[in-house]
Amino acid sequence: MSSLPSIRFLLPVVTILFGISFSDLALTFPAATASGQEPEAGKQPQVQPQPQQAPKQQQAQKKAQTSPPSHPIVAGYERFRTADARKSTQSPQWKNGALLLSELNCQSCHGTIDGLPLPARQAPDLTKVGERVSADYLVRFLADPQKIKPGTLMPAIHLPNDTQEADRFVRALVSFLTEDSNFRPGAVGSDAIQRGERLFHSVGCAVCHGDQRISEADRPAFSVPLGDPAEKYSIGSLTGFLLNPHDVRPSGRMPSLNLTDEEAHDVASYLIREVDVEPNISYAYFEGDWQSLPDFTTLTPVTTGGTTDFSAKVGARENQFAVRFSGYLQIEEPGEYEFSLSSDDGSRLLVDGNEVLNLDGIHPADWTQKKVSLSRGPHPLVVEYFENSGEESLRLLIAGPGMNRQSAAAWMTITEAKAEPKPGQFVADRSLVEEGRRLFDSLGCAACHSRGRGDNRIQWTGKAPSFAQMDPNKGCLSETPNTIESPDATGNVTAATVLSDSKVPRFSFSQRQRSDLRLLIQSVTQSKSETPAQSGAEGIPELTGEQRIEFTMTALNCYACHERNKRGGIVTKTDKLFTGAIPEMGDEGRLPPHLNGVGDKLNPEWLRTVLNEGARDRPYMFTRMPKFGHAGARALAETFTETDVRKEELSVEMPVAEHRYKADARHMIGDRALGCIKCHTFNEFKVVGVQAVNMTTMTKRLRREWFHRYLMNPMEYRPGTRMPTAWPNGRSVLPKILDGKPDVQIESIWKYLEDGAEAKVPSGLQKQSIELKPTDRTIIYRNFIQGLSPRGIAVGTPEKAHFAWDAEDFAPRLIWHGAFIDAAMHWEGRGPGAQSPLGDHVMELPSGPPIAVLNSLDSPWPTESPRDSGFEFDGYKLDGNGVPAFRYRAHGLQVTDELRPVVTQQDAGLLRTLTTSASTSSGDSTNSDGSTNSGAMYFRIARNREIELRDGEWVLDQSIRCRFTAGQPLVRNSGDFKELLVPVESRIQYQMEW
Amino acid sequence: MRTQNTFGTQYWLAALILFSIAGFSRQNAVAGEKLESVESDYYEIIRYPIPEGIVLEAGAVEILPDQTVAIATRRGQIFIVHNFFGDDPQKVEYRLFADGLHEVLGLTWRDGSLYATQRCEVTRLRDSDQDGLADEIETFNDDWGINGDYHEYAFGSPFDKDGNMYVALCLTGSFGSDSKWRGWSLKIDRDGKMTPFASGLRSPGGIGFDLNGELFYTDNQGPWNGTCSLKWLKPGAFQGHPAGLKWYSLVSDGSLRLPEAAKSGTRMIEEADRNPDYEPPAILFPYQKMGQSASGFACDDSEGRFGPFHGQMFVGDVTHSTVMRCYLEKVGDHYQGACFPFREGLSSGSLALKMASDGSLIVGGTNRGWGSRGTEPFALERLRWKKVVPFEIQAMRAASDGFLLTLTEPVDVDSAKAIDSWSIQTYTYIFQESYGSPEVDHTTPKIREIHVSDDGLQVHLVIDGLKRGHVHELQASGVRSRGGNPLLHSLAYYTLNSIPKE
Repeated sequence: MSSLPSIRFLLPVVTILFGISFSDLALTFPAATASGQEPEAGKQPQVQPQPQQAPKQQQAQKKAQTSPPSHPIVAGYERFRTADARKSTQSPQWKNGALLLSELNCQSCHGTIDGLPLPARQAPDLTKVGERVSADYLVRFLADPQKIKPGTLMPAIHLPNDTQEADRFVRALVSFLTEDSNFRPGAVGSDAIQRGERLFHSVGCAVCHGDQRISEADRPAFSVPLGDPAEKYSIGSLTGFLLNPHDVRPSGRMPSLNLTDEEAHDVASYLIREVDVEPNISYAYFEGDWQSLPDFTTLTPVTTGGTTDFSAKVGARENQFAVRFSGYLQIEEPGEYEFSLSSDDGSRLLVDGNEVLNLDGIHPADWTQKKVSLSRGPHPLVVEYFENSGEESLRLLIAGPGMNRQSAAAWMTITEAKAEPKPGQFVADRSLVEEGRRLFDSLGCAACHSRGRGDNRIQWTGKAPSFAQMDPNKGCLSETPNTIESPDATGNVTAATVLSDSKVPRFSFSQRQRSDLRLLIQSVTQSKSETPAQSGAEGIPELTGEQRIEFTMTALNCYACHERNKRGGIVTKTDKLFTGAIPEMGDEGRLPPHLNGVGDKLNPEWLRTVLNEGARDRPYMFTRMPKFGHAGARALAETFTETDVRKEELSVEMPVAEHRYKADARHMIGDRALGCIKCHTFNEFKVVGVQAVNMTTMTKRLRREWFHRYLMNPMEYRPGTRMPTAWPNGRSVLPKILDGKPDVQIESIWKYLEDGAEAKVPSGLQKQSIELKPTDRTIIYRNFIQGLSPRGIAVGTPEKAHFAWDAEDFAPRLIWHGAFIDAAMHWEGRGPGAQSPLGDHVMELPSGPPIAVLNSLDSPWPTESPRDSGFEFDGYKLDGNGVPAFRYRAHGLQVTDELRPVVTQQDAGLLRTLTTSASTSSGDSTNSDGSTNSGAMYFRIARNREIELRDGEWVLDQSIRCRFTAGQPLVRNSGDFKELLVPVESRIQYQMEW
Repeated sequence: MRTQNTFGTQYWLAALILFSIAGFSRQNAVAGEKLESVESDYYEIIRYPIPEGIVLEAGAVEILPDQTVAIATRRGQIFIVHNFFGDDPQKVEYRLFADGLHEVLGLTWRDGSLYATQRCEVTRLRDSDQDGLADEIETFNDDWGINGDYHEYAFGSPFDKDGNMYVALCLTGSFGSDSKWRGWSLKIDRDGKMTPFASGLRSPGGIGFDLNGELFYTDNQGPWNGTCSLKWLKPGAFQGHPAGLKWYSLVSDGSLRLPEAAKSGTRMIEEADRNPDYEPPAILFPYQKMGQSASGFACDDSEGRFGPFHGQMFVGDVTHSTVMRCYLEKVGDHYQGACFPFREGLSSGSLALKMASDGSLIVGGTNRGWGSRGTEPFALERLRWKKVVPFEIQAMRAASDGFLLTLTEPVDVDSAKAIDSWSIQTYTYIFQESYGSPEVDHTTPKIREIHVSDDGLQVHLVIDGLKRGHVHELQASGVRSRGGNPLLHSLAYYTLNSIPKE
């Protein structure tokens, strides 16, 4: 018995290590050994490349030549095919074929097949494809999908052998698909590209699609190809797709990552970063130091020209410039449009000569919005922008009828005239639209793709053999599809002839894919004969819950992020794509959880929510749980529950009333007991260091029985977790609470957490102020003080004149009155951050060095850090009242700096005494250039914009008054500032009041 | 439907097994329940009262020549505790000696001064006017950087026989070294002059000496540290975390050679073989089994007044509120050894440990910012031996063919020779730049022969399949003393960096 626990413990660990390397290794095989067919160039119709697209075209051709022969890429199939085939005894042979069948949606032509755990993957909805996808791209893609997008699931349609004829087919189809549509490529900004690159490689896109920053060969072979989004999409249409992928692809294989509008725009900008757009906006660039938008009519621009975006980066400068953008906004559909403007610093938007939005002044990036009704046609649009200093940014977005929120730049033209198509650009040919519509049906497009919603959907009128009837060596599965086959000897209609004119699509299957599909079809036929009771139903054998889970997770590619029962999970090549905001949390803070027993862990409702809506329960993790939101995902949630839930009776008898045990639970969670809140977020309270899952969401997410078991032994469920148990060996570390009974204690915590946002806040979260009050003696507080170096030493006096002396600057840096300081920031929790004075009248004094050798009074005050120029801190001595005298050595001198409170008529002042003597100890250098004798030594007392002598007092910026009782102060100019210097004497003394 | 039924059966079978396991651990629980009380039969915990108003988050402990005890706190105060060693712990008296210091995690006495290691410096404190309060707060050395990150702790050692002390500087967070000498141990000589001493530290929890004056420190689970450990600070050696290597640029006199940076994703022993500068941990504390945050430690120099463990190291763990015991030995040119559970049930997170001359062990506790099983926010306690020898594995030494165990009492030979009395497994951790590591590379060596010495105090386990570089987890649950007692702690974890030749 005793070895059992360790085995249970061992397995997940081994998986973490070896699961990764094995599956990764295995996955390199398919690509290497797959014998996908070379495109048969001779048989394929060629659409003449458009001249202006030649470079791109060549690039694509080059890609196709260097890549291995491409075949449809189904991520789960690519990843597990080899491994699954190896363990064929456990894994039915038909499984790989069934996966392909589901993902290629063979059912759309060949009829239903029973028993698959999730609906087949639907091809993209083409209802509005013309707005989404460039017609030029469609022309090239339809001619040879695998060549334009290697790995695509789209088969090549059967086109006539005659090149011109084929070209006409394609043009007809594209004319039909893009008729009356409004596709406008837009420019993308470099900031958005950068942000998008970060998002793409952190939120999860790259986990399925591969790290785009490394070569294709270095990505896992199961990466889902992206094709060339810059050729295919516009910035607006791709943004829209990323926001709602399920609108176009309802089967959820491309899940939604719940991106915000801005995030979607950024990711889209990154994906189409190579887009090449003609300048369509005029700009004039000006230079100058402005605090608000200048009157552009009075200025002469430094440069003018055309650009493609309303961007802060149009000119040479990063600071002190202004830009005026102008052009015409081309509106196709009249209606209400919302403009969103953001800028750092100021900007404003004018449409039709009227000011629509105004963000003038110096400020960080901020958004403002307004809706405007616009008629069809061109509208003069002007954006004015200026930047003073610091960060700079400018963005103008537009949303309106049939247009999701996107960069307004795409819809601009320089002149009033509507944008003309570029020479050679595809323009829908109305005369071909009807033929295109017919072809959409007759070529079989309509079998997979919907076009038109509901009753308007174009129906496929063709026919294909059912799975039971088909010859698995023919039709799409023939080695040489598209060859016309005769009826066989018996006169039966074969697969190939059913589809009119043998127009079977060509999928470019690899040999292995073909054989897997054949195996499946044979198995379906056999299973039918074995179980006559089910005759009529074509199906795969009945699956266990775990098999259904495995199939669904493979199809949806859940395994890219999650491991379950030693299958899938992160591989070496994807590991770097998982990052988090809190590196201190280690892998727990960056890697999505394993799904072993997830149906036991999460309650059914939450499982459904997570799969339907996505989740952000681990806000520290950059990778997001995406939203699948369809029937297959819902079924998966149910199957998890059915399969995983451990049936057990958990009844806990509570020995005391609810209000008592909840109070005990609150105590247990707090910092005076188990301290759960030292790592876990609790409602709005977040700790510093580790921010583990919010405790008050736990009862909403978890199953109570699991929670009980997990708390007793976290390591059993999450090997390597930092979550400790408070019940080691089944024994509570709190024997006095609720009789020390583990189940009662855990149940109390559960019940308490069920109060969610209403749960009373446990001890240790609401920071109590720890005000340090110097009542009868001076208090020293050495810690991180705001505005000082980390070597700050705050001194609080009973007279309420306080100061903070900096052992990096060797000088007092802050003085203030009233309350001294609140130590709670540093004395609660781990104590991060720098604290500001608690009181009022906070005044800043100059930073160091406090003493310098000047060759003449024209020499600038040195800016080198005092420590780097030989200052050495010696600490301080306290007098009988605890008042410190700071001591340091510099320039061969031993210096003592003492500030002592002095009661005055108003608030107390500070009497500062600086004494110097020749330093006795070695090590304190003279000036680094040995100039001690060539210049004079000064203390710098103040550096302010204004320093005046008034009634014997030096007044600094009208706020601090310094009265000298020893020393000969003098004032000098230093740029925009003045400096109050005192030649070094053995004793200098002055009193500060403020 | 048929398959579903089959599945159901499997399901219940699995559930049955799981319940059996639950039952098994429940049995353990009963044993566990006894453990604390059993430990207390041999080592009592004296808990000192702390008056209202004093927040004694003990960061460092020192015993002064007059047998008062100085406690430095994370709030920057130093208290002198009087009557500490008296008969009645209730009679202790706390007198404030200094305050306003910055999170003191090192305290040591010399020639009338206390030397406190604050975040920013080592400070010499002296009460020149003898009014009980320090009035000279002198900077002894502040030659390291600090940038305001809470993680940049500084731990200070006692003085060595030559009058040097050593500080161990935590990195800026877990991954970086943003201020000068972060991730280093620095030597500070008698005159306060600093010399960089060793690099590659991550997050020390304590620094000090063994009986021979060799310098050790504890480091914590995180990047390049699969689990917590006790490490030997060999002069100039690299302890594994490369973040601090950039400060080699400041070593201008050629006294230190820049070590090769570590290679992620390997094993500690592979790295040690590849990189002669790297010093692998002497003793690993298996994560969660022994503890989760190793902290301060003290060497038993009490000549037996603390029980039969003279010369061994006692190491605190904050999370588990425990004191662990370590047996170190030098094999070849390096240290390695075993750790054993020793005493649980401390009241707060054990942080500062100090062995007193009467052979008792002072433990100062705090759990601010990090949880601990002991639920008090802070505590001052003392472990005292009750003059009854527990039946324990006193020492565990590596042999060329297995392990040599020394027991504190003669064993019952039959139980010691029964192969079922023992079990052993090995594992190690991934040496990597990301945080922590699971246990990996498990093996199960076989015990081939068991020899017991005539006096019953030595057991020689001859083992097939010793695994160099692995923790050897030995469970001796079946072993009995001649009096029929089981071992007080039947688990031992030996970090076998090197297998002795003879």
